[in-house]
Amino acid sequence: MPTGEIPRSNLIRIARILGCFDHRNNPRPTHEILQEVGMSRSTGFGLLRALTLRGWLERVDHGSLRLGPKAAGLAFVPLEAVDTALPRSTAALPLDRSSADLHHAISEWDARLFETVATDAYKRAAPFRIGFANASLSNEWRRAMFESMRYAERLHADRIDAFLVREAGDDAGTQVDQIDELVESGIDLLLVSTTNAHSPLLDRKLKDVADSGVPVVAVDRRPRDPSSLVSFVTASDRRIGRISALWLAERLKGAGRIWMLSGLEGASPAMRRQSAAFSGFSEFPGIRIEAVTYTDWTEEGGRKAVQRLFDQGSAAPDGIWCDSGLQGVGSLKFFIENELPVPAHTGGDLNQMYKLALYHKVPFVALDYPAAMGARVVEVALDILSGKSVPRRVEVPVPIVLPRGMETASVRADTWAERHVGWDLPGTAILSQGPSLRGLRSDGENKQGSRHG
Amino acid sequence: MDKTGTPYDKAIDTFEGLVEKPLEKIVSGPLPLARAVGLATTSGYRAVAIAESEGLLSRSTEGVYLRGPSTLAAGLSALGFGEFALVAEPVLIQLRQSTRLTAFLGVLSDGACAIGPFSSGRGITFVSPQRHYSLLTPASFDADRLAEVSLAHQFEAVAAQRAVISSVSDRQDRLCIVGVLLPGTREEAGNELRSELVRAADLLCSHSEKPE
Repeated sequence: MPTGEIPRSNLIRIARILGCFDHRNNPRPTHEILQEVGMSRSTGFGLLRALTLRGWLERVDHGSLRLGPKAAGLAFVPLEAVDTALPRSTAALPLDRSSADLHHAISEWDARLFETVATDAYKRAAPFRIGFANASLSNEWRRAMFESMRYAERLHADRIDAFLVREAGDDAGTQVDQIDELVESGIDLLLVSTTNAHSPLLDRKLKDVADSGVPVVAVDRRPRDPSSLVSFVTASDRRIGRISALWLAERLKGAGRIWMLSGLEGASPAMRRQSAAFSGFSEFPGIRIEAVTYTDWTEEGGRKAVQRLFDQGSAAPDGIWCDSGLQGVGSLKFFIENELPVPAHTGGDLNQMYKLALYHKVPFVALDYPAAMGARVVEVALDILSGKSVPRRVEVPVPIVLPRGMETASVRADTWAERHVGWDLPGTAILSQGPSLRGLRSDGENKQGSRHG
Repeated sequence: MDKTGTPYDKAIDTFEGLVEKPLEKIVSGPLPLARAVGLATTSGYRAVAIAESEGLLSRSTEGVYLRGPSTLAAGLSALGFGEFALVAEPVLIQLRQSTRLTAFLGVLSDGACAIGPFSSGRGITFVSPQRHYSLLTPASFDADRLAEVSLAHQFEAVAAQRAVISSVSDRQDRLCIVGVLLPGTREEAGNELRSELVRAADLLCSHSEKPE
């Protein structure tokens, strides 16, 4: 735990006692545990005794303790909430897929995910001052990510003295100046979501910050040169690009004309998704990519892109690949408002995308880029400043969302769109925002059900 | 009998309720969780917030409460394999995505298999594991190879679950394994599944701490 911090409640003390043993559960002297957790002898001995009686700790000779048999049961951890309705309603699919199928769709081992970084050098006493140099708040997703960060900031308020934010309006020069401001204000750690992946100026600035001893963590968008970063919190853009392309190609039975509507030109997620989609489409010789355009991840950008392609004399395509619903909504609305048959689409994120696609029965696949990474990056920042090892790259999971009946040979749903959509939420809601979304939900306290019986 | 009659008992009751309830039911929202644990509104809200802040609980993107990273780290440390706490999640999620089967980390000891973190399969390959199994066949597991095994519920002698497992690390009388649970109708594990499992095991092995 951070030096000098006194836990305020027994629940905090319990969490920290259970967290103070090494990987092999080597015994520790009682006085050492009390010192590390920051407990007085009177409180500490009572709590340790109670935990020992209940089996959470066990006594080893010479007044030492280690984690007890009950603590071993804490390892039983489901890594995701299981949509228990999904298995029983999924259509029968072949159990054994061919080897080609296995690699075709899903296998995407990435060694970078398994590298960890020791952060002892950055350990300091709480509370911390954290700065966030944000690229912009230019669309709903970015606002949702920021809300998710704020949620985590509130949750960890006792460990955060100041959370300073600058917003650069997607301008690299402005962001460089703002990073200077944040560093000069005495921050302990810098969070950054870069304006542009191709800015050497930004690369140099972040390198300078890192060299000065301030740890730098990127979220969502990273600089071209990652050497300044302790960690990068993101989601698999490759998964988003590849699986959405595979679904679209399989939906079209391997043949058809595609328009590709990417997000913001120069932004690293847009580049990676597009590249992965190209790779996915290239496995289908009958798929012809007729147009590749950018939309700034806005509804207006999506609408204008489609309008422009029609103005150029193109016939309506068989499928429209969008790397996000942020622009996908604009594309969908263009077809709907002009009473044209709506081709198959890809792209999630925005609640309006789900509402429109489901209401108009448009075939689509969605992989929400998780705005909840905002909260995750704050947790990573706190771990770094507490001297805990962190992953070099953190990927927040990206589930596959499909309407019922829209699965293909390679792409199956993690959850159904009909369950994922927030009919009670505004169209601008970002469904992957995580717990911070609950303020928007009208019922506040939502679903309960049985699981892992 | 196992209580001290002090205020610490209540704190431990709260702790136990908060880390157990998410395994029993899907709960989203701090108040429903506090109520499910039997806590009063104000103190319950605060307890849930503290548990999330301390990493005892986490929340999915849909707001559903899960056991958190501190819980996993303490559990794996208690089993003697705490070094896998940071990498278990990405490895198991990748393994589940590539095989579409429930992927898990477990610890074998004296013929018993304690299930650790797991990522559940989807569709008809969905299997929700039990916390503990007995290793039925083979009776002993060669730590150097990958094996298809039958698991029984504790204290029972009938196979309840088949799995393919690979060893990751051994420590005294315990063996850490990574595996996938085979749904009942599946014939046998194919080569592709085996190679994905070996890949996961190799990645975890690279994080295994060497003996002191």
